[in-house]
Amino acid sequence: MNLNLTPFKEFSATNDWGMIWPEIALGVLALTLLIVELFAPNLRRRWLPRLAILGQIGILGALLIGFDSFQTPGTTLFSGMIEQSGLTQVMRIYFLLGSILVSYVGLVYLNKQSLPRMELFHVVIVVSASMMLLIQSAHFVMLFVALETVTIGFYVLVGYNRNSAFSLEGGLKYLILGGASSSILLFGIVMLYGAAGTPGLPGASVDSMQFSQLAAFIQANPDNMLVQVGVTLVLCGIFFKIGAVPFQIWIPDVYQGAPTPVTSFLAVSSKTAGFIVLIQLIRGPFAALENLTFPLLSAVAIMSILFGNIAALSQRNVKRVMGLSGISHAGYLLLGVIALVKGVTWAPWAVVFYLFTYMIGAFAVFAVMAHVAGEDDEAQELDHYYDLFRSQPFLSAILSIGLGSLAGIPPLAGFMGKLFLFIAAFQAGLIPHLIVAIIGVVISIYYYFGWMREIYFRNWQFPAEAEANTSAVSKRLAGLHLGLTHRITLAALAVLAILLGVYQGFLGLWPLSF
Amino acid sequence: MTDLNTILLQLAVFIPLICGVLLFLGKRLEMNVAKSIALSGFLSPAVIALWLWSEFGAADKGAGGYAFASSLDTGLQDAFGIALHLGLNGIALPMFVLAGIVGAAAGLHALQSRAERLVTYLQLLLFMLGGLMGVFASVDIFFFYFFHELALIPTFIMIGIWGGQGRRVAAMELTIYLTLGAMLSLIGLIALYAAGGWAAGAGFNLIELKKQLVAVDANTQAQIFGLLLIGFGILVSLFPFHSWAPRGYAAAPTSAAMLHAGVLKKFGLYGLIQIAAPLLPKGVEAWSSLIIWLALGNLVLLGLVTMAQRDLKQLIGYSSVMHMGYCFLGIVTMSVIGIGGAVLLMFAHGLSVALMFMLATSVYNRTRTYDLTAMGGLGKKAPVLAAIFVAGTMASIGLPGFANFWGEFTIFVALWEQHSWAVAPAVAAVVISAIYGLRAVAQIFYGPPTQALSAVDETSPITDITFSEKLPAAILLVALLAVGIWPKSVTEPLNHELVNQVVFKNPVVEKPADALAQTEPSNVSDPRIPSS
Amino acid sequence: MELETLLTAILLVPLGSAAMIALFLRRGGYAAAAVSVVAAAVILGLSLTFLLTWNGVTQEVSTVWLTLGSYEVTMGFLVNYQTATMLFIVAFVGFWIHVFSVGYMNEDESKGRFFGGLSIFMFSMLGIVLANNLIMIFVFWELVGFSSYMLIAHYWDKDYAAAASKKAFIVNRVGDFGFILGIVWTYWQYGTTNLVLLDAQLNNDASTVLGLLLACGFIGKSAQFPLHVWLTDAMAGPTPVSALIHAATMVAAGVYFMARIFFMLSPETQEVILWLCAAMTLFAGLCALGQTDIKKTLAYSTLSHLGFMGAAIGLGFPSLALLHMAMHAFFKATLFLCSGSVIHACHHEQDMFKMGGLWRKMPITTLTCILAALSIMAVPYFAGFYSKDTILSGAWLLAHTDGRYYVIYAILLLAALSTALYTGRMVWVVFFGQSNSDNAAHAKESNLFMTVPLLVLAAFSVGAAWFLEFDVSLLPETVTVALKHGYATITQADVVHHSHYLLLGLSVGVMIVGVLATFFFYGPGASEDKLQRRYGLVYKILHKHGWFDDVYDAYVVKVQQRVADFFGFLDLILISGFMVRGTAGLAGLLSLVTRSFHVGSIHGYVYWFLAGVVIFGAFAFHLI
Repeated sequence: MNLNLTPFKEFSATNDWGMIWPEIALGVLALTLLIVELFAPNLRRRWLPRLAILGQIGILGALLIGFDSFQTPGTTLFSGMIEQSGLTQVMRIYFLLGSILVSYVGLVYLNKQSLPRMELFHVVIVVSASMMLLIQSAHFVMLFVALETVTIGFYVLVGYNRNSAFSLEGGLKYLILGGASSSILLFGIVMLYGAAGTPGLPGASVDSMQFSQLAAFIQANPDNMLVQVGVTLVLCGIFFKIGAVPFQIWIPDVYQGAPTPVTSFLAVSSKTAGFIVLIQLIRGPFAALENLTFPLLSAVAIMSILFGNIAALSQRNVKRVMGLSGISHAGYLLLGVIALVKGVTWAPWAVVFYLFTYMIGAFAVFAVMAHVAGEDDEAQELDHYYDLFRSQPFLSAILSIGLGSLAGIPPLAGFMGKLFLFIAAFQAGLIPHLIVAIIGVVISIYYYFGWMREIYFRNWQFPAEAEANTSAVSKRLAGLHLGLTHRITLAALAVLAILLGVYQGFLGLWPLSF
Repeated sequence: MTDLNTILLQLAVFIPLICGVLLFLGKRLEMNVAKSIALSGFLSPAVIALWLWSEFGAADKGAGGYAFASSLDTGLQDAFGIALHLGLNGIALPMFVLAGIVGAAAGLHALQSRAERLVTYLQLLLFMLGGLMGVFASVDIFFFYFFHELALIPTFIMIGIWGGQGRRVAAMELTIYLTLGAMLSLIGLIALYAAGGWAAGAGFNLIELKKQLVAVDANTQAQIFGLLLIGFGILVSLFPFHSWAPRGYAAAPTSAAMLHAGVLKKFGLYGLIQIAAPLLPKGVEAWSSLIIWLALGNLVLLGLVTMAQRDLKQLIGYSSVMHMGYCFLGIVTMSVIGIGGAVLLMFAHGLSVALMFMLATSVYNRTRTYDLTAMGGLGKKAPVLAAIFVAGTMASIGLPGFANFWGEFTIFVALWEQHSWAVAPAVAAVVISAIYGLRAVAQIFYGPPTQALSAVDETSPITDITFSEKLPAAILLVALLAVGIWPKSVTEPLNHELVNQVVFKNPVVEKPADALAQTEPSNVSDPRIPSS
Repeated sequence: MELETLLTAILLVPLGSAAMIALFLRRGGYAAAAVSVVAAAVILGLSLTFLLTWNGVTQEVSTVWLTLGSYEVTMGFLVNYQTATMLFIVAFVGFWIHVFSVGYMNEDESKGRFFGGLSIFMFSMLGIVLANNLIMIFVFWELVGFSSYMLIAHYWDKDYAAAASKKAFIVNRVGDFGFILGIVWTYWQYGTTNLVLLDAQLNNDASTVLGLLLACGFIGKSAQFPLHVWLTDAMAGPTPVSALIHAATMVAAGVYFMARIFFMLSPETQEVILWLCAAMTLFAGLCALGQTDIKKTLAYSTLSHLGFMGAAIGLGFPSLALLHMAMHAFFKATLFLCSGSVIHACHHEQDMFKMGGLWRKMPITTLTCILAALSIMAVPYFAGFYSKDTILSGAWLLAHTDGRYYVIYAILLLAALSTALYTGRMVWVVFFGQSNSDNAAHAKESNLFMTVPLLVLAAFSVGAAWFLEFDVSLLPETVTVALKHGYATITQADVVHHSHYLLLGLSVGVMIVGVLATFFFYGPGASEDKLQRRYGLVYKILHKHGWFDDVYDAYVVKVQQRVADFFGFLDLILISGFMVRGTAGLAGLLSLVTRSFHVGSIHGYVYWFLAGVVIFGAFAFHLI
């Protein structure tokens, strides 16, 4: 049969809306959830989460089918508001995957809480969609709007567990500091706008918030004081997002307070969004400012690696550990960005690959955390994992793989991520950075493997004594039974972590396309 | 035929890993099924290794003297020149065989051990073994590193679940130290990759690197070699970076200790010999004096430290650390003799130290203690165990007839050529090792049985070595003796490879013309008859 | 049979027997004994075939064992007259001691271990005898050391046996320290370790240091000063072992080695060896008087006579050394076996003063022992006379040119006296008078396994050297050539010829003095050591042989072990403690510091945040 599809083709060709159909689809999905909640309340308990997750999986599938390659040429949409490239295509997949996993963790989390269900998924989906827009935005207005959507969504999410003082306090802290960072970012944007909008200066333009215009301007006069300050302030805003020193201070408290799914969301997607924006800016408008960005980013990277790892050493609460180690991962990732500053063109790929591996590893850990955690979500101590291997060998295996991947041990994905970053850094001649990175990795072994030590190492004690010492947690864990879906999901994460570690396939070709 | 061998080489690496994965079905499997899967996983590499050993001479050597070569692109070939490139040359072959043999012995020992959750234990061992086979089979220096790291997490977990006392600290120290070493050597390898000219250049392919790095200037060579020396040195427990080894091995379960001390520890030396030395000869030159001093630190200082040990496992651990010094001395010479001796000693030491760790456990199972001062008189109860223990000790202190002797002696010969002063302390270490080795034997087996021993005997009668212990011990001993009696079996391929590598000196001492033409052999006549 | 195969067979037969015993006959008892003895018999047979068929031309065969670049290790045989002599001694004495062991070890429950050890020893010893290069010599040198270690430790549930075996091996290793250095040096100096090629290269330009290094091996193996401490302890092993390894063959291997590489010993080297060994002859000879244990007495006598051989080397007469070694092998083996027979009969009583009057009960043992004693005391026409007195004459001969050698002659003469003294003492006390203990009272003559070897070896200790003067020879012709040569060079020298009777008188004189003195001083069948009672101090000095052992033990315990412990302590404190744990502790400390940043109060965080902005802003303004 031959349908006449030409009208549709023309529509999609002429109309930019078609190019952002995933974001739209996500929005629709979010609204659907609301409607279902509204009209079929009896479904909410069991079917809403599944609907949310399956819906996203559907979109992901469509996205993967429609995905051509990394090399798609940049296409500008909405008169320069959005620019799509291979990078943004890939990152769409990333964020969608991320929100699916967050939803899964949320599912596990909500089963233990007496909290409204739909809102979580709703907000997560909306935030993910706006993250997609954020990283595609080629215009500061677009960027700021998308960013605010994300941030506001997080205000809600961090304080989601209204029964928990920790959660609310975390929400407050995130609100205030997030607000501060946004304002600083905005201030920076304004400065750039002002500078680039000054008719007197060469390369000045009317639409000076558009990245390409801005780039041309900064190219013309990189030493302009206003530009320098503006750029610095913008970077400060982004550092807050990616949780890099010295804007990392909020992380432990917020991570601990926020519900585990939200913590994972913060740790993975939010951080990633920050990095992609950073890359977009460095590649685009800030390209000419190496003298400014290189020392700035270097300082931040080195401090982040050292601070994150050292601070994580003495933590017993696993959520804080994940948060602080996340700071160090931001530091490693910054090495890639610095390499890009130094002109290693394929460095963004290394960053993206690392982000993927980080997502897989982190979610393997967070998912297990969600399973191990009890009702009091913020109190997840290392001690709860004592002897987990005897009670939950499967979870222990997944957790070990996740931790190993984060620590960067072959054959797990995390190692390849580090390898590519290090190669990029070496190519850029960042020897001091690399030395710091090595020190960081070595320190990180202590807490990652220290966690594993809790799982596997049993302190010898008399049987009777042991009976007495078994905490409520370990009793609960002994009783915990994992459904097949859970097993499959977790196993999928583990397999992915190993697969990306041993076989990169076509992914390995992408660096060549930069 | 060669094709088959190429496939066999790949199988030797992958069969253990596959079997390990199969065991994830653990709970659903019958115990016997699981065991037989594990057994095949442990034995097939050994069988294949021995077969390839016999085939090697005839096999046609491709680029860089590698036989059975094959290459598989995992996606990084074009961008980074990384590919799963397997093959064996004269240096890799002995180590590959060593890994196979020790793997088989350790596996058999593990299969017979009554460890809780045996399946998991076997699984982790299999992953470790697969990694080890891969290390020595890979031509690609990235995968060479990659395979080595496979063992890190399994080792940690094995120490955790089945380890001995003091394991919490020991395991952590071992893991952190090994990661430090690994990271440094990783940067070193990346530096080699950089020196090879990034993506356009040789990538991580050793054969290509050998062609391209000839041009690298002495200064860069020295820097890169320094990185690799420290990195690999830590992995080989070069003095003073050794503290992880004895404690770690003391805490590790037997089979893990056998594989780790026997084979995995050789990784660093192998890296120096196969990669660093040929690629960076000037680097070796620049660092040689430091290496000698550190190696002597291993031999003499740590030799004395070994003498001070009271705990059997610590003693063996320290002695294994000590003997690494010889290999470094061999490498320093950069001569065919020295490198050959080092490889020979690596092979022999791997077997002997694995044997000793295994026997230490056998002793413990009978005496219920590792404290040498509390032992005595076990020989009466377990004569065969005593005999094998004596044999193992004699092997590790370099008695002729065991492979170790040839390694050590050859290294002495090689060392004399340029650094004759260093030979004396190195030989002194031979005396030291004899002292602690024989003292341990005497303390454990000789003399009248102690009360403690008799007490243990009353509760559970002490038996002589059982078949399950005897089998792995026999495998290791036979290998030691075979190479000890007929060293050519190892040195033949080794020599071909080393002579072909031009970077290795081949000092020729002029041989005098055959003197049998002389009529009256002067050694029947007495020269000093005074003129009367 | 072709030479190479024949020698290979000789070498491999004992290895085969050892392997067979180790694998199948660990609890084999007499079966193991049978295998080992048959092996020894085969060795003897093959050796005789060789010795009778060999045409006397120096021959060498070798095959490459290990190649690394230019460096080659070869294994091979070098047969010349020295080889012939040593081969005969090892095969012949070895065989008879094997036979003797069957009787001696009849009550021992671990015959398998014992006879397996003997076979391994035969293998290693023959290896040394036949070897054609230094490395091969060293290989088997180590192996004899190992088999000696194993056999000394035969009674391994006894502490003293454990200690003695350990000591023997380690002290030998100390000797090997120099030996290894010597070999390596030789390789680089002359490009080979092959004896023939070396011989061809060197013409009296041997390096003294190199020679001394190689001599270290000899000093260790032949238990000369300062490495003599192990031999007397080694008597902890079964008596046949003492006879075979620690009297007849292994300890003599050092001398053989010196003779074999004599061309590598510079005059200075020989000088050193001479004085060391000459001193040992007298010192050990006297110490023998301080022992009540019959085996200890004989051990010191062995030391003293090894001194004689070494002195012969030092004087520059390797063939004389060989001659004495051969004769010593016969009579010392006999003496040890006699002591073994006696000990066995007295239910392992070893104190001479608890024996006495055994000649009625053990006539054959007594007879053979007396014959061997006469031989060792160098009674004319006995084997020992020809060898030992010729060494004295050799010293006299050199003394004619260089006065210092009169001192040597005097020392050796006194040593001869001491020999007479301790031998006489032993014979009088053990065999004559009346028995001093029940064990001795109920002693019985040993069985044929033991008496036959005694008779044979006794016969040889009487007549083994007659070939030097008369044309009756108990030895194959090829065995005697080297010995004749050495003997002739001395006795036909004019100086010696003129003073023939003087020399004869002196040595016979001291011998008679010694015998009579012991008869009157100790008396037949004495029940206690008169010397000990009368002159306690002298006795103590001799008994303790100058407190060497105590010094050795003190060194091991007080110095060596303490140094080791000290370094162990340093390793623990500095490296494991300070370096490793210290770093970890530092990281932990920093971690606690960072912890204090997270105050949890929102204000603090905001300030921190703003501080960051300010710093970066300042950077942007180029203020920092």
